[in-house]
Amino acid sequence: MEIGSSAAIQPPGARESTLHPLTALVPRATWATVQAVFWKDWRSEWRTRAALNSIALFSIASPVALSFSVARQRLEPETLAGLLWTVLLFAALVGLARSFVKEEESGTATLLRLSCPPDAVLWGKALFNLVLLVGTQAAAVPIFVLLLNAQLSRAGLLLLVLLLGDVGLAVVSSLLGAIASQARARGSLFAAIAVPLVLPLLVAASTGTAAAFGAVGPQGDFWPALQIMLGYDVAVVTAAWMLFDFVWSA
Amino acid sequence: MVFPFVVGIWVTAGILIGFAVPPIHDGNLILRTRQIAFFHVPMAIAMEVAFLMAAWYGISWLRTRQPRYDALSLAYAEVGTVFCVIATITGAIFARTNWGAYWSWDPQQVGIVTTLLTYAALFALRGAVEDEDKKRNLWAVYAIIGLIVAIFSTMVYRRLLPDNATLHPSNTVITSDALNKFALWFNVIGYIMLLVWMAKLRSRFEMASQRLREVQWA
Repeated sequence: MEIGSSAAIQPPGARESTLHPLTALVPRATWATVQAVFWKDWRSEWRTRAALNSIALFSIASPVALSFSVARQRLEPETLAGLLWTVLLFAALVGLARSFVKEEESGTATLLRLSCPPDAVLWGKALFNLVLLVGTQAAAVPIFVLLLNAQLSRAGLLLLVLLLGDVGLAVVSSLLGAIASQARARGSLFAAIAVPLVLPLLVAASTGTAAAFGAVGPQGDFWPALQIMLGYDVAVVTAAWMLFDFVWSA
Repeated sequence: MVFPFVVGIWVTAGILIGFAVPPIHDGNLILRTRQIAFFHVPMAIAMEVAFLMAAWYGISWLRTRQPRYDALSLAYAEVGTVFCVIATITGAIFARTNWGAYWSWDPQQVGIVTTLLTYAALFALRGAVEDEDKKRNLWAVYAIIGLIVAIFSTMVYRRLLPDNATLHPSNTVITSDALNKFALWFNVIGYIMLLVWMAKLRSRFEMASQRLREVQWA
């Protein structure tokens, strides 16, 4: 108890800290620690490229399979958008739990708990997942557009929707990856708990992407979709920030 | 214990009142199978309340670490799932008689399916963790973030779409005559009381079975 009480180091007359004695000891994340976690993940990923390979292969192979199966058909922008986001969602589900599952499997999670503030682990891994998603989509989305003959009428909008969607996916999958990595049957559980939470994001992203592919009428109005995605991102970033401690230090 | 009797009589009276009130007009249409509204709407509201309570007791567990709160959180989520299933089915029947199809991915239907899946994922998560305290922590965290997303998909999502995107009547019963309004709120209160009573029973059962497990191991 002695280490936690801050009375000794406080100047006389200062208010007693209302923090829990243990919470007061938890170091807060700095940009340097977030970066450290990010580069650690980057290096260990680069050695095996397991997550990168699975996401990239999935998100490039499925447009190829799709374009085989719907060859020479004209697809509506709404259909194309739905297909694109289904591909991107499942590609993310295949690879994004890796960053936490890997720590538990190789037994390095405890060391990471000791050496890093919890927030740094969350944001470092979320940043890494974001980079992974953006990197694979930079290859996968052009291939999708080429193979399925999508008319890209608003390229800037597509980039914005992809970025907003990736931020939400990266943060949610980091928090849920940390949850799933502590349970049995990690891979399948991750998909089961992630899909319900990303459905609102998926619906909004599809609507926005349909507008980017040239949908007209009520489907072409993309502002509500962008608002939903932005609101969703803010909500999950806040929730992950508040809740990650309870998952990580459990 | 008077409360169960009060709830039983209240809910029965609510069902009877639902059949006694005059027809409801939605625009110039008369809603068919309108009695479902006095069952479906309270169920949907009670389902949201249940999720709110599950997340609230999840927060209480994280703050105080008393197993009682975790049992309450579990109980509200379980009863809420049952209410959610009933609201989905009655909604589908209402959709069939009024819109012609059981399921049309109306924004309201998207919302309720998302909520149902979130509930299901909660139980999947609980079943997959072995350590008791870790199980409760992860459950509480998922219940809180699940509530945020459920609010998004049932309330925010529909309001950000254009008005003609949904066929689901909104405020139709509330803005009709006083008798309908009374019947609706009477039923809402009744089913929320039912929810509270069932969740209390379920949480007592959960606490008892926990104690039994401890005795078994000891």
